[in-house]
Amino acid sequence: MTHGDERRPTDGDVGGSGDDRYAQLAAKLLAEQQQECPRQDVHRDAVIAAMALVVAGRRRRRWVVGGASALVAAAAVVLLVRSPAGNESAANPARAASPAPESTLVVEHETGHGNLLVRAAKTSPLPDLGVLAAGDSVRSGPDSSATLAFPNGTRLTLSPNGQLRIDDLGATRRFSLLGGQLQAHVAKLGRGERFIVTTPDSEVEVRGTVFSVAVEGPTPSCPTSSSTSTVFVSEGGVWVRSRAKETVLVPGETWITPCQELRAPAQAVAQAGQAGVGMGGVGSPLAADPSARVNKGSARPPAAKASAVRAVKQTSPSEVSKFAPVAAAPAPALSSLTSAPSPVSSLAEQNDLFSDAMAAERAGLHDLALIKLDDLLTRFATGPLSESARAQRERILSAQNSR
Amino acid sequence: MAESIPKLQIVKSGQPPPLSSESLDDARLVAALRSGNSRVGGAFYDRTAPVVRRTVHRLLGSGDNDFDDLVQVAMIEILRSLDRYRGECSLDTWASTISANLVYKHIRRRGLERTIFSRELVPEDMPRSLQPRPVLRAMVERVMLHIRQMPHDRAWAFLLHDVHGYSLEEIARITGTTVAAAQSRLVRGRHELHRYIANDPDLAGGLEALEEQS
Repeated sequence: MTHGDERRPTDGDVGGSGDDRYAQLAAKLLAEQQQECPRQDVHRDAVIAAMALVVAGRRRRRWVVGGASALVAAAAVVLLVRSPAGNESAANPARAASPAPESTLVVEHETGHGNLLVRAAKTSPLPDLGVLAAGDSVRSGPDSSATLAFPNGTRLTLSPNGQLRIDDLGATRRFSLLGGQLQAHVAKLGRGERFIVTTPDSEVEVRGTVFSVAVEGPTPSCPTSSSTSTVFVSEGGVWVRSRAKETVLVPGETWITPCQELRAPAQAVAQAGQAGVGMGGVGSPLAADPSARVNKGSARPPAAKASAVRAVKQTSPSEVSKFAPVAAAPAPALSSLTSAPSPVSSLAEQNDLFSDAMAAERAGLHDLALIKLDDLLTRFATGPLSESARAQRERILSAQNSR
Repeated sequence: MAESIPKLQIVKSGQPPPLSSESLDDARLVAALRSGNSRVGGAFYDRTAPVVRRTVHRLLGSGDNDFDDLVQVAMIEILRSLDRYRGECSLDTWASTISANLVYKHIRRRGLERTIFSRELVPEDMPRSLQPRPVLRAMVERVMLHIRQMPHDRAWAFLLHDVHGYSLEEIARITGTTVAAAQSRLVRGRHELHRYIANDPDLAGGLEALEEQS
C-alpha cells in the first residue's frame, strides 16, 4: 500500500541490503497490515465552506492587485486591433491527442462576454475552464479579456480585441499573436522547453519572465508598415527576432518594430552584423539607433528605471496620442489590469550585484566585494537576497579581522 | 383607466450550479481555483479529500481525536499552496505530500508521547472476520515497539519510504530537510531497526517464517 496508491518509489540508490533484511520484512508486514480509513466523512460541508473562504480570499487578492495595476495602466502602453481573418487557415487544425498534464492549457478566467474560440474553422463562445489545444484560436471582444493558464503557473492574458492562435503545446510552446495585446507571465521552463510568441513581423522567445507584446496596424509614424509590434519586459529577459536580427531585452526595456521607411534594409543588415546577439545593451549600435526603437530603462536604480520608462512615453508623443483613446475608453477594472504591464522587477539587478560581490570575493578583492554587498543592502534592504548578503558580509568582515 | 396588474415572473438564478469533479480534470480544477472560482470547491474536495483522509489516517492512526481537524487544515493548505503546484506530479501526490507534511509537523508539535508509533492499528469497530490474525497483530505491535526506540527522524524516514511509499524527494519536502539527509536517515533507520529485530529472536523468526510462507 503506498501513498496515493500510485507507485512504490524507485529510489534505486536506497535499495535494501543484507544489513537491513529484517527492516525490509518489517516494512512489508506493516504495509500489508495497514487498514483503510474506516471513518465516515461527516464534515464535507463544513470543510467546503472553509475552503470557499480561502477561494474568496484569493479572488479578493486578485482584485486588489488588479486595482493597483490599473493605476499603472493609465500611464502605460498599449494595444490595438488588427485581425486578419484569413490566418485561421494556417493553424494546425489537428487537436493534440491527450496532452501531458503540464501541457494542458486551460481558460482560467474571463471578463466580459465577447470571447470566442475558433476550433477547426468553427467559432463558439470561449468555454469557462475549457481546455485548449494546438490549432485553436482565441479572440477577445471589445470589452472582454481572457486569461489562459498552464498548470505550472504560466499565464497568458489576452486584452480586449485581441487574437491569439495556439500553434504548439509540446516542449516548445508557440503562440501567434495576430492582433491586440498579450501579457505573458512565464514560469521557469525546464530543460529543452521553449516559449515563443510570434507576431506578423517578429518573434519573441522567453525563458521565465513577465512581458507584454502588442500588435497594431499602420501607425502615423510608419504608415507603410502593415503591422507594428511592441514588446515590454517587466522581469527576466526575452529574445526578439525580427527581420533577421535578434535583440535581447532586459527588464524595463521596450522594443518596437523598426519602421522600414526610417531605415534602409541594407543599413539594418549592416548594423545587425556589427551588433550581434545582445545588441540591446547600453551603448550598442542598436540602442543608439532611433529607428530601431529599443527604449531602455537605465540600469539602476529601479526608481530611475521606472522614470526612464515614463520618459520613453514622453519622447514618443505620436504613440502617446495614439494610445490615449484606449486609455480613456470605459472598461472594466479587470480588463484595465490585464492591459497593464507589470512593474519593473529588480530581481535581475539584485542577482547581478550579489554575483559580482561573490566573484570579487573569489578573486580576492574583499573590499570590492564589501562595496557590492553594501550597495545591495542599501538599495534592497528587504530584498530576497538581503539575508544572504548580510551573511556574506559578516563572513568577509570576520575573515578580514582574523587576517 | 385600467389598473395595472402586478405580474410575478420567474427568472433564472444568476448563480451558476456547482461543478462536479467528474466534469473537470485536474488541470481545469486547479485553474478554476487559482482564478478564484468558488463553484469548484465541492468538486475539489471530492477529488482530493479521499487522498488526504487516507494519508492522515495512515500516518496518524484511526482513533486520533485530531483526525478531522488535520484533514480540514490539510485541505486548506492544499488550496493555499496551489500557486506552487506546477503539474509535475499528480494532484494525488501533491495532496498526499502536503498532508503528510502537516501530520509530521503536528506530531512533532504535540510531543513524542502520542505519535504515529502509538497508533491503533486495528480499529475497535472492525468486524472480527476482517481483523488480522492475532499472531500477525502481535508481530506488528512488536515491530512498532522497536520503531519507537529509534530516533524520530530515522523512524519517519523508514515509515514514509518503506511502508508508505514516498520518494526521497517527497520525504525531504515532508520533513523539511534535504534529499541527502533523508537518504541518510533512511539507511541508518533501516540498519538500526534490523539490529533491534535481530536481537529479538522471536520476532526475527516470525518474520522469516512469514517470508517463507509467501
